[in-house]
Amino acid sequence: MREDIKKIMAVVFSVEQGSIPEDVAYGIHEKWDSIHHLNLIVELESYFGVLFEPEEIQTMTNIDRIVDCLTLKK
Amino acid sequence: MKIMDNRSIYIFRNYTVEPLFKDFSGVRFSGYEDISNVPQDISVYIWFYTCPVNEGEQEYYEKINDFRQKLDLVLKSCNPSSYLLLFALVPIDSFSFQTNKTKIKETIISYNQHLNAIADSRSLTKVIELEDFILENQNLEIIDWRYYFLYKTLINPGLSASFSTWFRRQWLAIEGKRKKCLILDLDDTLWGGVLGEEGIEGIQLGNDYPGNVYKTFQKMLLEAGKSGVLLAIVSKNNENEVWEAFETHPDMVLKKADFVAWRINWNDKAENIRDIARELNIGIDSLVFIEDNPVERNWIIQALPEVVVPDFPKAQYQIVHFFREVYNTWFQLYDLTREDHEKFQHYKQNTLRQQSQQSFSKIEDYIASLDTKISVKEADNFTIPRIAQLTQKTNQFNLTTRRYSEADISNFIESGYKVYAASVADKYGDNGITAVCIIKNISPDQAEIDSYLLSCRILGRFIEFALMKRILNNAYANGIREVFASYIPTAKNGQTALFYDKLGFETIKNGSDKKYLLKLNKLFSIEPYYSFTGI
Repeated sequence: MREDIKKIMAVVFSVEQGSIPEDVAYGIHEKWDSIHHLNLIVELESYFGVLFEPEEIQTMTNIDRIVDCLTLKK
Repeated sequence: MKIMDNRSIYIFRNYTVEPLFKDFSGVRFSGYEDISNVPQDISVYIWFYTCPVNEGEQEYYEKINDFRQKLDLVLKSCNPSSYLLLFALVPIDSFSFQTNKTKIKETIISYNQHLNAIADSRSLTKVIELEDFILENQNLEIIDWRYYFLYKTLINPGLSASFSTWFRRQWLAIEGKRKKCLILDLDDTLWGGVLGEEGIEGIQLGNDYPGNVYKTFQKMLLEAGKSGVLLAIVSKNNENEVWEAFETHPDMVLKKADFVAWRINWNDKAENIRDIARELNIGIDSLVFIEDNPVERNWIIQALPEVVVPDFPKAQYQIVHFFREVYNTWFQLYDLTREDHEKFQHYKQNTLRQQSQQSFSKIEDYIASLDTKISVKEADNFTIPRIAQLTQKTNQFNLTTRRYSEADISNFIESGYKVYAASVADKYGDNGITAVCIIKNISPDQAEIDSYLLSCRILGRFIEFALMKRILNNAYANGIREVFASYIPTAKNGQTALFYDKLGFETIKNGSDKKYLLKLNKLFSIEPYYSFTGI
């Protein structure tokens, strides 16, 4: 799941596959701003077939938290 | 995917539309309902205002009226040689709170007719019917309320892929028709007769029939070239002889410099044409080939079906008329403005009349009409969370982009910093706390601006200047005589690079972080149409 998330991030941020560091974080990674966050959430929802609550969307600011939210949905 | 690439696009908008355009490169966005910046180095402007949602009836009319005034202002300052695509309004949300639905419909129709009138009078302008997109996707959720309340999107960002496809199709319909390059044969095309047979003196080109036909044709080609059509030559001839003819024939209107590319040789013309497209880096489908010889024409039609090959007239006197049609059909895209708009002609006069009553010639007049009220207060326990949040979130109008927690802000206040929070209201509503300024007192008469930021919600009305002047005036009244400030560039805050310069600060240190000093010796005057309360 982590690898899938990173792949999606790479596409959304338009950076090279494999260049997403493990500790990538919202507001820290230069591409991960609010608009890219929105695009990322849209892609994650479509890829994993889930819908996130606004509260979740606001907390999904690193890979661990995204994994947590996705695990809860499964 | 490539269709709008290599173009700079600027989108005026009232909601978050970035996700819809994420597949397009070179796109920039205005602030929300912000028209203060109308960049000129743009090839396509897009006016993408959508019907407001969650507004009461009166606000709804006022909003739409306001959109219209804004658009009229943009029209006055946008680059006249760029495209302007105007999105028509569609009532996306149902008017649950609004009682007078007929009047709302009329307001929308009148706005859309106004767009059509603009498209009718301005070249390169096209109305985009967003309704088509809504209808195509009516089984899907057009508004996703989660994203609306989190990110201010109106059209569901989940529809961005189908939006891209749809929008590209709209663009193709507008631009795809236009060709870029005219490829010309020479003998019996640019002049009468065959140069290699008859010699320079023998070809028909001059002031008598039929030479005058070719001379007129060349004049038209020259004009076409000036209007941006690329001219190229593909001809079976000896190249030296050809350039000599262009140079020495007294009635030759076109010169070598008027052509961007040529293949004058005895090779296959299809090969030559393909070569020229490659050299100019344009598509084969953007070429029109003018050639008198039907055999050569048919060969190109078969070998390169994407190239437009119009039938060349048999009679010489028809050439000029023929070319006018070719030009109108393939090169004068700008004429799209005429299509379908006759029916709006009578309406246009009405809307122009209304315009003259309502439109503002200067953005200052417009801003003055907004009735802007700015309340500036020192931070307290109620406002600290919002202040910290703004320092965390604000990227674009942020001079130093220093991120602070609530605890940081509280510490500043305890250490004697001045932390100001400003809320801004206008006739359309209250935006709440949308600006923060943190000032550190260095000595009784010296201060330093640690942070200054405004939410993009209130940009575009020069509030940033009025507010800073107000704060500086307050500092002056409190005995401050020297104010230090700095600008720390980031990937996002380029628009603030000259902010302090514009206010009259002196640069005291250049470099990646710029430092400024302002000696305060008098009060700033502030435009009277901003009304301040608080400090």
